[in-house]
Amino acid sequence: MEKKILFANIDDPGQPEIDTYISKGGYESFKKVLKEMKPEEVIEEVKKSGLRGRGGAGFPAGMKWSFVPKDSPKPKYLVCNGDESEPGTCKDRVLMEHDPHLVVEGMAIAAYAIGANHAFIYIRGEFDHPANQMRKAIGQAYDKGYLGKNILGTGYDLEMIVHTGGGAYICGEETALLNSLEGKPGQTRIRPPFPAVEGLYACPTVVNNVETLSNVSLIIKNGGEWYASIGTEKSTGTRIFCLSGHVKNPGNYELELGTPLSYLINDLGGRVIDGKKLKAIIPGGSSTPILLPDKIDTPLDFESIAQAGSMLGSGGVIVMHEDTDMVWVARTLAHFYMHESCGECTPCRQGTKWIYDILSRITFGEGKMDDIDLLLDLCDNIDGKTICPLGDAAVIPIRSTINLFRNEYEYYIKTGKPLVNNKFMSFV
Amino acid sequence: MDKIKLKIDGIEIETEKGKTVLEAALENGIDIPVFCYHPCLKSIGACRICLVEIASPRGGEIVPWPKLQASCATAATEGMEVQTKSERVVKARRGVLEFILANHPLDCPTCDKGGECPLQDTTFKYGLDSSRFDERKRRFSGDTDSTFDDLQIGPEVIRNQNRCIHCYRCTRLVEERFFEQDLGHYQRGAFTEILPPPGGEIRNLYSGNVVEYCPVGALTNRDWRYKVRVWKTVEFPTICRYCSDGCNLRVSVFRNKIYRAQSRANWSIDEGLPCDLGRYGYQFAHHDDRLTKPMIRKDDELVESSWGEALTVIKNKIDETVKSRGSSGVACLVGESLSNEDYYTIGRFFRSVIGTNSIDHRIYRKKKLSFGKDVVERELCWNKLDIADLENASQFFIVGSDLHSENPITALRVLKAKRYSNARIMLLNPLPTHLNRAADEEHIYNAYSEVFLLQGLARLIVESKLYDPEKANLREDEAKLFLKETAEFELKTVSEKTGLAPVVLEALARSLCKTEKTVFISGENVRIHYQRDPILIALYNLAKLTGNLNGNSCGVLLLGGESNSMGCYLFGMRPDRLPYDKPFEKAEELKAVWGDIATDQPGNDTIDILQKINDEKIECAFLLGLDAVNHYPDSEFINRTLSKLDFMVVADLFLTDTARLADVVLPISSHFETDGTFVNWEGVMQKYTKSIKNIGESMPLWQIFAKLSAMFDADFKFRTADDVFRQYAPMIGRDGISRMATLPEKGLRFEKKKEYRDAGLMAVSYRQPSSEELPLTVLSGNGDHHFSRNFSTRCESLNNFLADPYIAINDKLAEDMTISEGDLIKLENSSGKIVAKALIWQNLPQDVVFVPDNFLEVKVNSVRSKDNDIDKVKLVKM
Repeated sequence: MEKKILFANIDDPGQPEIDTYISKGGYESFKKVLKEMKPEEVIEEVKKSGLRGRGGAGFPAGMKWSFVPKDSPKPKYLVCNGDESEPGTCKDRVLMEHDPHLVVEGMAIAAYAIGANHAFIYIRGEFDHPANQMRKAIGQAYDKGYLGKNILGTGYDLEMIVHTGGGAYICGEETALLNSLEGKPGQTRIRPPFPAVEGLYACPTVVNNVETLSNVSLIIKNGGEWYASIGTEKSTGTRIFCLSGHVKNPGNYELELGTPLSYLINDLGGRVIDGKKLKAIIPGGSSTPILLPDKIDTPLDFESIAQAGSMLGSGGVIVMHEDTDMVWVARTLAHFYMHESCGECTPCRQGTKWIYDILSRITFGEGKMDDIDLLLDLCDNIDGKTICPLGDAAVIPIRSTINLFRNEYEYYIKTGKPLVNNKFMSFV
Repeated sequence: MDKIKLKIDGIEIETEKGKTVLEAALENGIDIPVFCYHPCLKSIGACRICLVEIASPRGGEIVPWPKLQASCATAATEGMEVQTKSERVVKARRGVLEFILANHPLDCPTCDKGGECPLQDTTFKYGLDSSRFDERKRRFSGDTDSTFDDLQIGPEVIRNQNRCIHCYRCTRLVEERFFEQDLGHYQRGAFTEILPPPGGEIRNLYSGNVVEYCPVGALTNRDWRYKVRVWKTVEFPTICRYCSDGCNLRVSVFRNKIYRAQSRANWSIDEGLPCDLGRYGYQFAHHDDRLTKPMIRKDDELVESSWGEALTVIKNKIDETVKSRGSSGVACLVGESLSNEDYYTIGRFFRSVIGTNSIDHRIYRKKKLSFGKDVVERELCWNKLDIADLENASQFFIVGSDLHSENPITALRVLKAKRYSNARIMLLNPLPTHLNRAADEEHIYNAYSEVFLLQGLARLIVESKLYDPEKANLREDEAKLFLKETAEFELKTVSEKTGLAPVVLEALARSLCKTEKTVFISGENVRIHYQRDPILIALYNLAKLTGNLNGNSCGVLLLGGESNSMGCYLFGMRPDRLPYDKPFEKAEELKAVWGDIATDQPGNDTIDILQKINDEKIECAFLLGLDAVNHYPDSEFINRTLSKLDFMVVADLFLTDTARLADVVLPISSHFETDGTFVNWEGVMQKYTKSIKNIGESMPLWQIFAKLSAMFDADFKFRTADDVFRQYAPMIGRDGISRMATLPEKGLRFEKKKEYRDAGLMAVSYRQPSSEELPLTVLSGNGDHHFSRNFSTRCESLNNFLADPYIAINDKLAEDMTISEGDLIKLENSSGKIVAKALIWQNLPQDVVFVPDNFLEVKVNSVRSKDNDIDKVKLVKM
C-alpha cells in the first residue's frame, strides 16, 4: 500500500528550508548519532533495519558500511550517488529538489558511521535545479553548524561537497562515478579492489544512492526495528516507484515493499490510457527484463520480482499498451545504451553499436531473418563479458523483447512494417 | 616470495603470490591473447580478449566463478583452476575479436602496422574467417586531404582513429609512466577518440613510445610511415648514442638504409621505453652532409683525397714532429660518444706507437679540478647504484640537474618510484626544469650558489641535531669540529646567498632526515660548475648525515655526460690512467701486450694541452669525434689556440667548425656501421652491431688507427672490432667474456659494485666566482628533443619538435625591455655575442638567461670566457 515515509513532507513547499525541516524534527537524528551513538552502533542499527541499496543492485547498506577497514591510515570518504540516469527513473531528483535536508542528514549520519570527514554528492549533470537545492541546503546546514569543523561541539568534522557530473549514464556506476569525481573520464574501474577498500583517491569509500541515504535519518529516529517492520521480511521499508508510460496518472509513488504491481498501475496509476489493453511492463528501469500482463499481481519486492523473472532495479516502472511497437522499444533502448557506453571495454563499446545498427536496419525495413539469431548471439557475447553491468543491462531489453515478442520482429523483417500501429515511425 | 600453485588447462604450475593469472600463464608458456595488457602498465581489463574461466576452492570444493574473468586483472590464488581453451572461453574470445574487427577498417594493405600487428596475429590465430558484420563501419575523418583519414596530432605522431581498438595503452602510458598530459581520450563509446587536449599536440620527450605501444596502426609516426614494408626490413640490435643511460634499441634496415629505431626492452635499464632522442636520433647516419672521403688541406683549402694519401700525410707529419719535438709534441683529444674499441685502439696507438700520454676527453671544463683531483669523481661515478635500484628509493634530492633532458631514462625510473611507491621528488635548480611536473617541491636557488645551499643544509642538520648519530656514524666531537669548520655557512648567510627562505631550508633539512633511502642526484649544472668538487663533497656530507651513504637504493649520483663518458674514463682516455682505469704503476699486463710504454710521468690534460698548443710546445694534435670549436667553453680562445697548431687531424662524421680548421679530415663511421661497445653511467657495458655498410669511404676510428699502426711497423692486427675486444677482454677479468659475442644480452656490469668509503664529514669553502660586471647570468642546457652538441640537430624528426635556437628570458625582463616572443635579441659581453629569437619564460629567475646548447647557429660558448668562472652578459634588443 502507499506509505509515505520519505515523502511525508514532500508536498510542503517550505521543506527545502532548514528552519521548516528542523521544526519537523529534522537533524535530531544526526544530533542523537553525534552525541549518543558510536559509529558501530549506527551501522548496527542500519543493519537491523534491513535497508537495502535503492540504486539498483539492492545490496544491504549496513553491510556495505561495515566493509570499510577501521584501521586504515588513509582518509575515508562517503559519496552519495545522485547521478540518477536510468531511463524511467526520477525519484532521487524529487528527494533532492523537495527534501534536500533529508539527503544531507542521511549523508551526515552515514559519514559519521564510516568515519569519513568528507562527503561528496555527485549529481547528474543535467540536474541543475536539484544541484542548486542541494547546494543551498548544504550551505544552510553549514550556517547552522550541522556541517563544518567541530560539529555541535562534538569534535567531529564533516565537509560536504556538491559535484555535478558531465551528463553520463555510466557515472551512476560507482567506480565510474569515482573516476569522474577525481576529474578523470567517466570510465569504470576493474574490481577488486572494491571502493570500500580503494575508492576515491585510492582511499576507503562508500557509495550510496540518494534514496538509500534518505532513509538513514528515519531509521535512526524510529529505530531499525520500526523500519524492518515495514515491507516484507527480506525487503524492508518502502520504495519510491516512478510510474511512467501509458497510464493515466504517471508519477512518483512511495509504496511499502511487497505491494502488488497491479495496485501501482491500476489503483494509483489509474489504469492504461484510452482503455487500451496492457501489453508489457518494465518494472525497474530500462535495465530490467520486461514482464507480461500475466505478472501484474507480482508483489513489488526484491524476491518476488526476481521470481517473476525480472528485477526491482531502480524503481522505474514503465507501462506499455497494446499499440507499442516492441522492436521500436528495443531500438530506442539500444540507442540509449550505445550512446551511453563509456567505450572502455570491447563487448559493450562495439556490441551496443552493432545491435543498434541491426535494429535500425530492421526498423528501416531492411532486416534479414538471420538478424534475430545474430542479435541473440551478440547479446550472449556481451552478457557477462564486460567490466561493469552496463553491458549486461544493454542486452536485457533486446533479449527480453525477442523472447517475448519474436513474432513482431519476424513480421517487421518479412513486411518491413511494424505489426502494430507505430505512431512514432514517421520520426525515423 | 611466497609461492602458490594453480592449475591452468590442467597443468599444475607454480608462481609467485601477487601475480595475475595472465602473468602466471605467460611465464609458463601458456598463450593467452592480449591487447590492452602491457607489463609496464596497470591492468584495466578493457579489451576482454584475455577472458578465462576460473574455479577456485571454497569450503573444500572447487567452485566455478559465474562469469568469465579478465586474466590480466585477476590475481592468481592457491588451488585455482583456470581454463583458457574451454568452449566458453573460445566462444567469448571469438566474440570479442569479432567485436574488435567489426569497426576496424581492415585496410591492412596500406597500414604500416601490417606484418607486425598484434591484431592481425591474434585474428590469424583465434579469429573466424568470415564476419557477420553487415553494417557500415564507423569512420572518423582526418583533417588532411589524405584518403587514409590521418590526423597529425604531434610533431611526429599521426593518428588514424578508424583503426583504433580502444585499448588505451597510449593514454595510460602517457599519464601513468610519463606524468604527461598531452594525450587523452574524448567522446564516448564506439566514438571515443584519442586526441591531445584541445589546441595542443603530443610532443613530450617520450611521445614516440605511444606508436610502439599501439597494438594496431592507429598511431604511426612520420619517420616510418609509408616508406617500407616491415617484412622487407632486417632488425639489428644497437645502443642509443645520446645520453649516458644507454637505452637498448633495434634498427630496421632495408637496402642499407635505416628506416626506424625501436625499443629493445632491457628491463634493468630502459624497460622498453626509450625517449625520442633514441627513437628518431638515428637519422643523422643518413644525413646528406656526412663526410664520405678523407680531405687534405692543399693551398689553404680542404680537398678530397684517398685514404692512402691522407694516412701517409699523417704518418710523415707525426714522424717529423716526433723528430723535432719528441713525442710530447703530439696530443690527442677525444669525444665522449666513441666506442670502447676506438678508445682502446687510440690509447694503444698514442701511448705505444707515438709514446705520448697526452690524451684527454674532458673538453667541457674551463679550469683544472680544484679539489681532490679525481677522487670524488671516481667515488661518485663508480658507485653502487643501478637505474633499476632507483625505483625502490623513497626520496630523490635532485640538485643542479635537468634530469629530464640529461638522463631521460633515469628520470623515468624516478617517475616510476613516484607513481608506484609514492617516492618524494625534491628539485633544486637554478631554473625550472620539466621534471617539476611530478615533483613534490621545486626550489629555484640563485645560480651558482650550490655550495652554500648544500653545505648550508649539512651544517643546519648538524646544528639542529636532526641526524641520527648512529645512522650517520658521527661522533659528538666530529660534529663540533664540523660546525667550527663551516662557520661561513650560517643559516642566515645561506638564505641570503641562495635566495631560499630559512623556513624552506629548515623544511628541506627535516625532510632529508625524516625519510630513509634518499638518492642525491646532481647533473650537468654541477659537472661543469667551477666548484664542482666542493659541491659533490657537500652532497656526500648530506648523504652521510642522513644515513644514505651505504645501503640499498640510496646514495649520491653525478649524472649527465654522453653515451660513453664512462668508457672514456675506463679505457684510459686520461693522461694519467691506462685502460681499465689502471694507474701507471700497474702497467705490466698492458706492457705484455702493447710492448713498452712510457709510464714515468702522466701526460697533459685538456687544460695543459691547450695551453701548450698556445705556447707552441705541442705542434701536432688529433681531435677525434669532437667538435672542440663549439664544445670548449671559450670560443675565442679555442679558435685562436687551434689555429696555432702546425698540424691538426680531425676525425668526424661531418665537416664541423673544428674540421674546417684541420689539415687532414678523416671521415669516420657512425656506430651503426661497425660493431662496438658503450659503457653507460651505471658501468654496464653493452654491445651494438653493424647494421649498415659504411657510408662512403668512412671508417671507424679503431680501423683508422689499426691501419696507421701498420704504417708505423707496429701492426695491431685489428681486422674487426671483435679483434680489439678480444685483446682487452682478458683485462675485464670475467670468466667466459672473451669475444664480443660472449657479452650478455642485457649488458655486463663492467665493475663490481663498490661501497662508499666513509671518510667523515669534510669541510669545503666557497670561492667567489670571477665574472664580468654585467646583469645577466648565462645558463645553458638541452633544448626540447635535443641533446648536447651532438647530432640531434641533424635529425629531421627531432627538428620537427624544435628547429630554431632561442634565448629564454624572464617575462618581467621582457616587459621592461618591450621584448615580445620571437623578437631578435642579442647577448653580449667582452668575449663575444650571440643573437637569437627571444622566448619568454615566466618562471625563469630575472637575472638568468637560458640558451639551449644544441644549435650550431647559436654558439653559447662565444659568450663564455675561460678567464671567468661565471659568464655574465647584457641583453640588447635588436
